[in-house]
Amino acid sequence: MGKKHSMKNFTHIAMKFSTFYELLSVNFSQDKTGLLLFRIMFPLLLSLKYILTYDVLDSIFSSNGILNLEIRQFATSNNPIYNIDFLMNRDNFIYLFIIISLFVSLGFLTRISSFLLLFLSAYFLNKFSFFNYGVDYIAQIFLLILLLLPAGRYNSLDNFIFKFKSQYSRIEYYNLIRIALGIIYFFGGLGKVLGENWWNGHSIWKALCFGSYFTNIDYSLLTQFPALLIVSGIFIAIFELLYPLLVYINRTRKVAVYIIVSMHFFIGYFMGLYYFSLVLIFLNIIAYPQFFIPKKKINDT
Amino acid sequence: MVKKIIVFFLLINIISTVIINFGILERDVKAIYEIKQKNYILSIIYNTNSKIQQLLLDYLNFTGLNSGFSYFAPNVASNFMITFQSYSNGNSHLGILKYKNAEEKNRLNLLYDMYMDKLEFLSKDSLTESEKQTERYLNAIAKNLTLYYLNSNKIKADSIHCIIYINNELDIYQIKNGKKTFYEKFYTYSYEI
Repeated sequence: MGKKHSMKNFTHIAMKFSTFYELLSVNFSQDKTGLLLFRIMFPLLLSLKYILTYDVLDSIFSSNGILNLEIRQFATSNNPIYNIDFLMNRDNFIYLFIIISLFVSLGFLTRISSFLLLFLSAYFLNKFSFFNYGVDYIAQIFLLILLLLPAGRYNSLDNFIFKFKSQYSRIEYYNLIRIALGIIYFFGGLGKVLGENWWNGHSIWKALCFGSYFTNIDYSLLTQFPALLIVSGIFIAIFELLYPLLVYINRTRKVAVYIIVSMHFFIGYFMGLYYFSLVLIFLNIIAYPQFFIPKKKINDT
Repeated sequence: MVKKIIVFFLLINIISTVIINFGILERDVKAIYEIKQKNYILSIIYNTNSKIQQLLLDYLNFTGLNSGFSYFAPNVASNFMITFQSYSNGNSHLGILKYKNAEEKNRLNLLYDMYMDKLEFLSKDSLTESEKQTERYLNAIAKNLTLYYLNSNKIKADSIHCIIYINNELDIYQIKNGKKTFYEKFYTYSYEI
């Protein structure tokens, strides 16, 4: 009796896993463009971070730089997997990162290259945690997703070399991109809703002041319209909180995606967080390529 | 079977991420509302002797899943600025670190933001061991930023001050009423060379 019961339970759980697997997979023809864009562009976007900060990274890696060994004792991971002397040199690290990024973009040994890229990125996150912020951790999560996706199956050197089956009806695990974005925005929104200053306009004002430090734009005129700041703050907090629901509902999905992309555009332009915004806009585009790339093109690819 | 293992692995990832995010939120909300209670979720996650749990934490660290997504939340953090006042043969020179682009500036400013802790320590009579360690860390950052400033600008000085400022954070109504926003000096590190 007990054996029969546990067998039934196991079958029940296995069925739930199958349902979850089905939920994670998407229609091939619709999202192939998104998958291709993800594989080709995302590694290059990640390399851009190191290219933009190339000069200052010299003083980060160097033991005589801004953050010498004395500081690294406090702020770096002691995990032995990150103790690789070869990578403690700026040029070694960056050139290797760019080469592996190109491998992923071209779809060459895609899974192995994606894993190496994930490792290099984890190395930087753990060795130089003081030089990273939100976008780097988001990028790391999406690198993990890229590793799981069948990204090297189409339009890739792997396909040219290994001649994969030409027809697939589903892209496994693609919905992970949407789930990850949903979780990120939900917690972003929940955090804001719980902070009092997002309800009285002060947080959005502070965020803009933070931005003016980078953009040199004077926002003082906005203080003549406090209601605008209050409404914007409340809207952003509630919208982020509801984002997973809004993109889940067919009727609101398109508007929700356009709003979130616009929000990142504003964050980039008005707060000077260009790289952060670029990465998040890109992730929203590959999550919902049907709203940004004409349907005909999607079917053609 | 492989698919089921992957799905199980993904579920663990998603559940861990959600739990950690609730933990981080609990910590942050208690901090801003000054609720002096233990952070239940994080203490369960991080106080562990279990090897499996430690392995899971290392994995979450590797994948960035333990980072927390409450950006600019619950409230937006304060703005800090650092200037350097160097003295040589009776002359003084005021400067800041130079940046080539916004991204460099963004990332170096992450170091400035850490001085929120210094501000908090200044208001305390005594510090805990962990706070003392953070203070030593902040002192080391100030010293190294100063050295970097001197070297990158090829400045020769007899002495130098590294001055930390915080924005006075006026609210919208104060600005509307004509008050001016500015950076207020709150700590100076002094070095003889």
